[in-house]
Amino acid sequence: MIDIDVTSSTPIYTQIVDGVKEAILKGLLEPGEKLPSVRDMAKLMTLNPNTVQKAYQQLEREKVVVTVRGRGTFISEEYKPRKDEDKMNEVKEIFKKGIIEAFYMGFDKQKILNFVKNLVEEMEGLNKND
Amino acid sequence: MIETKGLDKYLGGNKILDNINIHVKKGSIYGLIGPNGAGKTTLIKTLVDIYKPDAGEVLIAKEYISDNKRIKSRLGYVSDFQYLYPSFKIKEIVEFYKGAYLLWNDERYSQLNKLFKLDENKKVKYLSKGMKTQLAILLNLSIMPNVLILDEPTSGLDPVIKRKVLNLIVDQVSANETTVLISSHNLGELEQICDHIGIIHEGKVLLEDSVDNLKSNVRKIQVAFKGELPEEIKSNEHILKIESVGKIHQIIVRDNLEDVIENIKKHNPILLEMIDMSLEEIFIHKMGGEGYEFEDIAL
Repeated sequence: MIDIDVTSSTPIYTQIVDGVKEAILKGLLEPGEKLPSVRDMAKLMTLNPNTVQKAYQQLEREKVVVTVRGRGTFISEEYKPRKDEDKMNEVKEIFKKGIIEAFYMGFDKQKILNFVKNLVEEMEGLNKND
Repeated sequence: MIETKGLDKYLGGNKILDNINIHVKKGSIYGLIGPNGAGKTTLIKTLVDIYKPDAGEVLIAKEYISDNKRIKSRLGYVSDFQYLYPSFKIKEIVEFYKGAYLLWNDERYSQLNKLFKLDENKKVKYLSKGMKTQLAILLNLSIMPNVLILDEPTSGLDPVIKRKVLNLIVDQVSANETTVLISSHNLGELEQICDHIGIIHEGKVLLEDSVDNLKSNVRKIQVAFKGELPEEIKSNEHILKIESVGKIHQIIVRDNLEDVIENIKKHNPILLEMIDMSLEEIFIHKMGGEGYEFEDIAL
């Protein structure tokens, strides 16, 4: 469900947090949906249960998920992806890298803008099919 | 849960362990890494009371391990080489374990053997190395351990069984809060399942930290300048190592990453980017700093 890259400098619990958020954005996880228990998730992905626990706690602090005692952890109904500044800068960097690549490949401004537009439309299409 | 205080151990007149202090928290999976001959197996054998330390103490669950039957009855140990009686059938070994361990759990054993599918009528001498390891893991999980110590448990296992074994360890920890200490050369594997790491070299603990900390504290930056690499950057005390190829310099930084980056930015770099580092790379750099490094050999 979530891609974990053990060679990345990003701690694994952060990768789980990001992975869950991404799955929500893509509509793979919906508000109210139950997440696997810490034990199941650890087993499913061969990860340390303490790491999974840490990720779930972080998600809970960020109000992405809610834990109902005795029932499990669920995607929060109120969760709205939040545009925090750090994240924005990170996203900006990713765009920048892509734009530089495209530029070196001979794309002009209009082509790059169209490219982005197509990608956004593609994502919207995905969400509509849910 | 596992703690050592100033362990020393001499073998054949050589000091193999030199003032070892390690700390493993309850419910944690602790990875013990170190180059060949660092003293990993000696440390493990001292932890499980096969070797008596020449100085210092081993505490498990806050009790001294030395001749402590109660603690040992809940201590699982999978050695790097399986010393099981060759002429015993598996079911006879199981009987032996039943007699030796008070909390032996038959149900757990048959549940686990559904996974491993070992033929109980087979004699130990007809088992392959991998099968013996599986048997040892199976036995040691069936004694309902609260501490599990594994010496290179995945070496010699095929990828499918290896995955099974790692999953079993992970599940044992989630279900029973078992404390696990595992030594391995396969750092990728440790990275995935461990929360804490101890690096030992020449019988000393070089470093003990959580994997998350290690990964976020030791970082690699790639920079390039129009001219030479400025002296001010070179002399920054947080830099572990600089490797240069032409204009491009790869800098390994420990702690104070922001500081070093600020410093670099001041000198108008034409390239500045962060590069991911795996545990393996961190290990190699850490060992490199200790004079354990292979020189490039020109053939």
